[in-house]
Amino acid sequence: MSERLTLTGRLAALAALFVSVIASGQAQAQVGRDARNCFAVSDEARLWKHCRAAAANARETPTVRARAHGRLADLFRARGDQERSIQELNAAIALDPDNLRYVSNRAVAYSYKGERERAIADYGQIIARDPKNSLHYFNRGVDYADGGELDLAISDFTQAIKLKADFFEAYDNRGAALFLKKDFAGAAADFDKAIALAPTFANARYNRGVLLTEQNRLDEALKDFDEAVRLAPQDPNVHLKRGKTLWLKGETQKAVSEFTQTLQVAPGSAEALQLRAQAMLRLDDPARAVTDYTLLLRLRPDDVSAYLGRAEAYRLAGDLPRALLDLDDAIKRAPANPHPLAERARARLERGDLDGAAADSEAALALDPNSAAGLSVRGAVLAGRGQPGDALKSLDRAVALAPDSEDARRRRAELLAKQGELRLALGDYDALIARNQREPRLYWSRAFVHARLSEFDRAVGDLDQAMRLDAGNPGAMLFERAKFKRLKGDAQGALADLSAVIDIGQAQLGPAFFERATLRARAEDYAAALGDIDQALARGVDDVRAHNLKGWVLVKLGRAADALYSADLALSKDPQAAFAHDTRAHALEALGRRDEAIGAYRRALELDPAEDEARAGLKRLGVED
Amino acid sequence: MIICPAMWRVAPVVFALLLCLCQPSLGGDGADLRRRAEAGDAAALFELGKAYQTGDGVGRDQRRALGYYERAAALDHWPAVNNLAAAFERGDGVKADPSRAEALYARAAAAGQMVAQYNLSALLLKRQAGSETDARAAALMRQAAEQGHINAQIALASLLQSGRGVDAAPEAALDWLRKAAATGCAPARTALAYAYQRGVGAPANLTAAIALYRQAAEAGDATAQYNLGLRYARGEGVARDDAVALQWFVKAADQDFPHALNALGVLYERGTVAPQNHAEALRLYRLAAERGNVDGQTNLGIALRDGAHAPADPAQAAMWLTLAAAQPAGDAARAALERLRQTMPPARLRKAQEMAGRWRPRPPARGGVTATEAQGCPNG
Repeated sequence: MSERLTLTGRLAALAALFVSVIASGQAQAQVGRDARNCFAVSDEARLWKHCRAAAANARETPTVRARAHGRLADLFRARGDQERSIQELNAAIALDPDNLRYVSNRAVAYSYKGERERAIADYGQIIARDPKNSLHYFNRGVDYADGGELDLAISDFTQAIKLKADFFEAYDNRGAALFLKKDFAGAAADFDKAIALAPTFANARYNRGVLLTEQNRLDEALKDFDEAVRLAPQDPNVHLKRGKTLWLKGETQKAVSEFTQTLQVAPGSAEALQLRAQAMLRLDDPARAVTDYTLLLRLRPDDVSAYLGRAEAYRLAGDLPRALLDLDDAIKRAPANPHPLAERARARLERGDLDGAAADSEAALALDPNSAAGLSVRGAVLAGRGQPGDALKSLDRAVALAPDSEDARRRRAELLAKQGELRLALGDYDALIARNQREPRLYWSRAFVHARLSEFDRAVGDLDQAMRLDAGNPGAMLFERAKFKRLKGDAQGALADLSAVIDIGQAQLGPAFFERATLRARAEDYAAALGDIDQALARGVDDVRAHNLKGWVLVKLGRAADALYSADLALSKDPQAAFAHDTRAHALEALGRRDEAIGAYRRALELDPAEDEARAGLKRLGVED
Repeated sequence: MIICPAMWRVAPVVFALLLCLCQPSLGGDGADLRRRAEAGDAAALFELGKAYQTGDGVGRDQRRALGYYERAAALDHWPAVNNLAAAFERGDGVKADPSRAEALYARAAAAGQMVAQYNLSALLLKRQAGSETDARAAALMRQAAEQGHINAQIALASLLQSGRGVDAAPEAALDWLRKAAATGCAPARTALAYAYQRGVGAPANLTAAIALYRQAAEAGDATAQYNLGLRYARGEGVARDDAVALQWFVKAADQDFPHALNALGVLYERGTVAPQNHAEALRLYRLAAERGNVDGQTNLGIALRDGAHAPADPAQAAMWLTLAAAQPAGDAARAALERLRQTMPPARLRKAQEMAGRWRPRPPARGGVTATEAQGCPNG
């Protein structure tokens, strides 16, 4: 999330401050009863009645009638009816053209109505007649800034400051305009000055926080936002920006809390809902993201990005059917947008629907031949259909078009690893991890590539990191780490990891006992190895290697009859296993059944001439092979 | 200054006094039981004693229970001898008499009664009487452990780790913990996790430690809940996640676990993951402090000294800081107390020290830390 922070709303809010200042005035004497009541009452119904009567009363002086129109204009402005407010002010100006406050209020009404040009024209008129009043320059500056005419706005704010040296709002707004012009040093100086003049002015703190965020000085920004929150706790914008800054700092949980506070102050804030939903996705809490996206869709039923976001949340929660329904809705609302099509292609691919994924990715690419997401899915489809060369071409293009796309690069890395292009795969995994250091699956996958390259230390390091990031499946990860340690020759380390797998007692228990038995047998700790191999067999490890290992261990423990039984069991699993014939031969030799032993050794060598133990056995028995 | 959640140091071996209550209650046919008891059947006498002690099918009556135990004990019914000894040790229904308790335990232990072996061992260890007594205690603990007494297995592992009463043998300690943990006993898993965390008897392995803490925490072990929370709070072996840490601290604090009460207080004071609430933080520090937790006492003392979020109370502050400073991990408290001393009249300081001298820790609240039997550690 790296959107631009804008300040326009703040500038407009300041303009409102001056309307009421200018509208207040002193009632004049020697007027009729309606006019007196019009200027004195605050009750809306009575004000309406008396001011209408006074404005229409031809016996009143034009000044008094103009004032009655002015009061009615205030009434309409308070109701948000800028059009009728302007009508009343037009009448007032016609009756009392020398009174600047009616023109000034009309300018503000034009501003609120969005008729910026007319507002600026009115301010021009006032400034020509009252050039020493800083407020007029300030308010015109706000309108210039709203229209993006930043140089003119800066000029007006500067003039306002010249006329009123402690005009902190003008410093603040000039700072905002300089910020929008990317003159960050000038903006910082103005915000500092505004804060020095008015330390309790929340807006300048907020604006400086925005500037510091833009400069990636996040800790300093947060200090300003903290102060702004303290000064204006009910301002949802401050909470929202503080949340965004926390998000940028990677403090997602705190950001969520800030977005929640934004929603408490402004329950209808779609932006806060959207941001909180995104944060929930980052926190791996798709269920709560779904809730927020659903609320967002109630506020904005046609928001395609909300449908896409909710689909992503459903996808992460493993609910692909609902994800697909949301993607259908997004496609219906934006049929010419390739992105929802590419997303549906991805979801269909995950569901194993290669044809559907192919159709969607081709449709996305028809709309935008450079859709990286479309190319990525096309690559995956081609790989799935056994066309790795074409798949790689498609994925290469996807990565070239969107080097930051995790999806395409990950698919390419997987395909390259499958193709045996291990160094290239490693390059992709390195790039992926450099961008996303919190994803355990990436470390897990890279570990296996390292292991295939015999880089066992790196493989172990990657698994360490994967385990740190994903505490949910330690048994499987420790089991793999033990294998890598064994392959690099660290038998003690492997033994310790296998013991930990067994202590945890989760997945891979049988294989862990078998692996540990193997290591213990190699270390000639046959009694312990026998205990482990029995545990492995009891847990369903029932293959030739397991029974053979038990036979071998029993031979070493001097239990030749039991060893023969195990060797026979091993051979019943795989009669062509040379090592099992060798074990059987050893058992027979120990039992004194010389001829049978010789036969078994010979059979072992027949099946595997490299079976040196068998050759040694024959020699021991005085037979040359 | 906030004292952060402290590393839980050593799995405390809780030498809970155990009664022999494991045999099935005779329940329904009470008349038959009484008939057999009157006829001098030791097992029936024991069962009746047990029924009166626990109030199972009869009104609870400890004196009558002891009467039946005495009669059974006279017939060398060893579980009855153990229960009688336990009553003398606790002063339950009789005047506490540690010497008689020890003698009775010793009689049952010599006859091979494993609960009595464990209880006698625990009694001897509590005395801190020296190496000879410790060696005797360790030998008894090993006898009970070898008979399958799970608490004894955990306790023996602790002795083997520390070398108290036996030669230190961390690998053997780990094997005992594995035996105990294999029964599904949650505190044993916690102790095993701690060994993995610290690398005692096996290479340090935080992944295994966390997996075991999680199993024990999910089974309701407060120590595991706190330690798991601490790993998340510090990002040790897992990605740092204050929200998950909070969740586990809350579970442990709900069981009145003092370290967790303090840790939770810290989170409320900081307001980073839970809404900032100084009053709640102070309440939690007080609960931890009242249970003797050094960090809780320090945090409470500092809060009362500074009066930042509660009225300052230098006398109370001095009392809590004095208590914390007297503990081995009381460095922060000693520094804080030193600062307080500079501003406090000596007479008031003396009064605070007197208060500290009279202070006694508050026992855990009802429904506090779950008994080991309820955590899958049957002990016979």
